[in-house]
Amino acid sequence: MAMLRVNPTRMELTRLKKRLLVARRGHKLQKDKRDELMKQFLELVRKNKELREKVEKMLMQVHSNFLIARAVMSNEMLEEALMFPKQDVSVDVSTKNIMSVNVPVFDYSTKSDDKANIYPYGFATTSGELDTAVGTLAEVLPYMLELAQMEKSAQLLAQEIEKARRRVNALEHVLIPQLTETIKYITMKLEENERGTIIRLMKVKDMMIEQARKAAAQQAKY
Amino acid sequence: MSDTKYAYAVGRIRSMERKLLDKIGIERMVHASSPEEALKVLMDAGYGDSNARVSDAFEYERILREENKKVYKLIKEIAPEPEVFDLFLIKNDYHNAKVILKAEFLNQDFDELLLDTGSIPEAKLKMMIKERNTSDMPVRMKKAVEESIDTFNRTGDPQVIDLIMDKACFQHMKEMAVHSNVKFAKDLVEIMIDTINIKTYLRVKRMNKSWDFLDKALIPGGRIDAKIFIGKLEGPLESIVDELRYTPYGALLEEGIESYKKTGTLIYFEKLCDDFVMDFVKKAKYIALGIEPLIGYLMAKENEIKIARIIMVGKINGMPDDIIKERLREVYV
Repeated sequence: MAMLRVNPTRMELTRLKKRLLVARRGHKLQKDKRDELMKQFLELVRKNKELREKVEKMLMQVHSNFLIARAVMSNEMLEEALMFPKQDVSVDVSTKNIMSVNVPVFDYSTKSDDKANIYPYGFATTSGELDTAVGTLAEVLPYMLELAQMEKSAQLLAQEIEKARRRVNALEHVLIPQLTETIKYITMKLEENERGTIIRLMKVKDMMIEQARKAAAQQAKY
Repeated sequence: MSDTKYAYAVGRIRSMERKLLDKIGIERMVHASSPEEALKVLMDAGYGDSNARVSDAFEYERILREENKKVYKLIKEIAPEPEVFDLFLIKNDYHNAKVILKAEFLNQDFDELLLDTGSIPEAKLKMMIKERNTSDMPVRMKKAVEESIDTFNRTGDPQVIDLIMDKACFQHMKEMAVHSNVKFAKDLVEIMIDTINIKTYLRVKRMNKSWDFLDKALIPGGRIDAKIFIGKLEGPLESIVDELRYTPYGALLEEGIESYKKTGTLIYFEKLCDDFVMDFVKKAKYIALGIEPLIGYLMAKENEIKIARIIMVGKINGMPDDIIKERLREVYV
């Protein structure tokens, strides 16, 4: 395992120990964050799937209605009927915070409140099927906006989960082992030094004893 | 009125009628394996340009439009009193007027939606509306255009343009029919107005609109009084059936409303309405001399074009054969 290139000093050791502590705490936090995001994400995805299926079903309905309307009306008549929309829709975008992820929130408002006020054409030259198509389309709009909001949120959450997971992995598999390794290395180095010093001292002591003994023996001779 | 001057025209029409698509031809179209095959059946029935084989099925819209033009050209050529047939052309003028007005209010160009089959050339109509120079316009249309502009400027509601124009269109048609002194044409226009009003009634009812809106949407001049529809806007659907049971529309309403209640769509009802009009037109087949067979042929051709469009759209979009058949209208021959 790779190690940090540091001087094996006591000061470095305390510094590294502090860093390890922070890394461990960060790791735990990121892991919690990831789990929570995951939970939120799964819930969102489930809802998203339901909604998407619903919207797709409605849109298929709209398409088949349009198809029939298209079949009984000529191209020009159909386009004339739809060329000037009656209802105006405006969408406001704000943001909401889920686990420090800013997800968009769409609010839409229509110009006129009358729900039945969406048909911009007369009745003589148009087919009743067109009413159904336009009506369903108006019904599906809020769902489509909700779906867009959800899908964007899911996307953003997925990105954030990805980031959190990278952080967790980086901490778990790189930084923390690196730090522990280095700490171990420094401790061992320091211990080694200590042992060296002790041996040296013992050696010196031995030498001194030897010298002392020699000196004593010489004195005895004389 | 001496009908003998129609002898030549009726003779030609009788021979043309034989070329109309009959049930078997339509069956062949419906069961064609591809849109191209279906188009081939149409080409065999005299549609399009016989020298240039059209291979692209998506060109059907152009072919149908050309066919429409061809029919009017023919009728105008052979009819001793071609003005009468303007009656069937003015709906294209009103369509053009709607497009021109809406395009002007939107400040956009929609010239591709203009039809060149009107009684007034579309460029001329455009100039007239643009310059507000309405003195050459038929009185009815002039009033409608002015009313549309005025109402739109006050309300900003594009639907009023359609409502005013549709109303004016059919009133104009009726006036022309009355003026032409052809009872058959007058009856036909009245029946058209009535069936449209019945459809409008059902659609407005489905949209949950108020009676004053219905009042604006209904077209005057039919045989059923608008008051009946307005009075029956509230309450169950059966009450309108009861009210109209002893009119010629009784059976139509009964069958149509039953299917509407069962399926929730007006597809079948619209088919029934078209069939009802067709049934009336079919009477023209038994009139030996006169303008009726010409009108009959014209309507038959329009009906045929409608059928062809339904089949082509169905074929291109891969609708199952029996669903296409369900939507088809009765044929003339």
